[in-house]
Amino acid sequence: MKMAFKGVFRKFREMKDDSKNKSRRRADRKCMHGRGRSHIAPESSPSPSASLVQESRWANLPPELLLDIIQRLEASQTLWPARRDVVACGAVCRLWRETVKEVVRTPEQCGLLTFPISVKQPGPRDSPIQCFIKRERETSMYLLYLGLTPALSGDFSKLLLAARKIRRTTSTNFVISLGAEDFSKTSDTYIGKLRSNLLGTKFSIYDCQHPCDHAIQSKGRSLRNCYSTQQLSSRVPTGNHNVATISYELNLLRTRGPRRMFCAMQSIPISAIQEGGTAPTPSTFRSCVDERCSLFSAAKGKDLKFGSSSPSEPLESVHDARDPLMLKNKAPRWHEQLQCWCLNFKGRVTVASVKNFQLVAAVEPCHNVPAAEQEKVILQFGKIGKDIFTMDYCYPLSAFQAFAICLSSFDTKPACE
Amino acid sequence: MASSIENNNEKLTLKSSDGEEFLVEKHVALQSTLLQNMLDSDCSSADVIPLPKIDARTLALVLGYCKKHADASSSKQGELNSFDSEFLKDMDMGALFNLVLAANFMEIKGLLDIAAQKIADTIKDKPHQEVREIFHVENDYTPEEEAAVREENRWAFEGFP
Repeated sequence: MKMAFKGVFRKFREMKDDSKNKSRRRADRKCMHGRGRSHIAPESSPSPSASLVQESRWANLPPELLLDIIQRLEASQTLWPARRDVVACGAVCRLWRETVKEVVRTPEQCGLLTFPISVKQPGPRDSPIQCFIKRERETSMYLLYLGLTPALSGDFSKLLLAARKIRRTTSTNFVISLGAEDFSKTSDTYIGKLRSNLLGTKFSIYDCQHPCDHAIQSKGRSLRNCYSTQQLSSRVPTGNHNVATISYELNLLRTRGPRRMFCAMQSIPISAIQEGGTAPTPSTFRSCVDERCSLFSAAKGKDLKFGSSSPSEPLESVHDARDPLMLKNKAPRWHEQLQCWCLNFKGRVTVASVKNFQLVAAVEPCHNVPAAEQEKVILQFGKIGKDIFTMDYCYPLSAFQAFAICLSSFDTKPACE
Repeated sequence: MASSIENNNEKLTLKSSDGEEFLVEKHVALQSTLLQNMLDSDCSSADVIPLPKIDARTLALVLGYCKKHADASSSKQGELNSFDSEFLKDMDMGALFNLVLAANFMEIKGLLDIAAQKIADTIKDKPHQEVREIFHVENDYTPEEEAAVREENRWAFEGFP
């Protein structure tokens, strides 16, 4: 009995420590000594001091209970707009935020988008995240929504990203933002941009954040640390980091045929799709311009043109793993009866368009990429109606990267067709 | 309240933080893992078990829940489910807080489950300012952090009817 009580008393003492209410503490002590009898608990009397007691007590909710509660909320609110409740919990206070961050997993791990940073994190490995893009011709805007189609998700489609097309004399720019209201590059909602060359055959994706800011969420990191260098102060001098290059092959013979496109993802090493590989996953919008990044320095200096890697280089295996991931469009096959080029979009694309494409990894044998990975459609984009397109993406691309690649397909390329 | 000395083997006495004593049948008390562990480790039921931090009002609720579940363990699950959903209905946040703490402390899994779920449901469909008010949580963000959090929320909430 004594042994058992020792444990219980320890537990009581722990509970007492987190309480700031002295009158309650006195009552407890009385109880421990076995003196008190039938005292009226302060909670049962609706006096003003009692409500004050309650107020301080909620703040002292034991962390394990808060975790349990937030886990329950997170597990039930998986669809937008209900998912916003999880974001709201993260805004309550530091402790709640830390707890939410502990509970919420990345899109790669759970297939769900939660915080805005989710659009910069790689998609799930197995089933793609299904989105659609609405084109607004009069405002030159492109809106990326989470959802199957506008008809199916209606008003409850979550706007993930918005882009505005700006034509210049020498190039076309697509400014990409978290919202459709502000496309200035100094805005907190600015994410990056897509810029074309003069001919519209080559596009560069720029990220406002350094691509190697891939501090994968570490459990031990305190929120204070996350925040001290984050946003506002550090986001103001917005960077422009070239994270990918998309090239459409010139069709000099002017014969009508399917486009050929290549994407060099400078920010994603080929190792991401090798056995056990990972893709960079930023955990905040913190930009770390000054941070040195050894992983990509090797890839940066190299000629990124497709198929240019020379296998005779020394330290071949090291270089191979750090090579940027290359994507190519899946070659459509010619359908004799229909007299057109066809690709199997598994029902997600319904209107024939030169813009439709499916991207797969373009690898070389020395990269040791599993066959299944080589077959996998990483990004698919296609038309389903007037100014409506679907976009399905998965690991290792993020929604931002996928959206930017799709935007390049919107820009007319007279030289490619 | 029965005197604790004459308790037979089938009963034990629990004492709330405000000194009220509750005579409880052993099989009801066994719903609590804490009490079960105490009884297992050679605990004589002649003793009064003090439960500081759990006031009489909360303890009465807790024991009501335990009794229902202990007595109905062999009966229909549906009946228990409807009891559970009625149990927390219209409970104010103060009582709910006391209850979840008591369930956590006494290790009553079923009660902890429904109380935590009820609290999670309370959070649903509310902006963070309202959650702060309900839970009386102090905003400890710096103005910069607060601005960043607002931005994040704008993205999450905008565009929905």
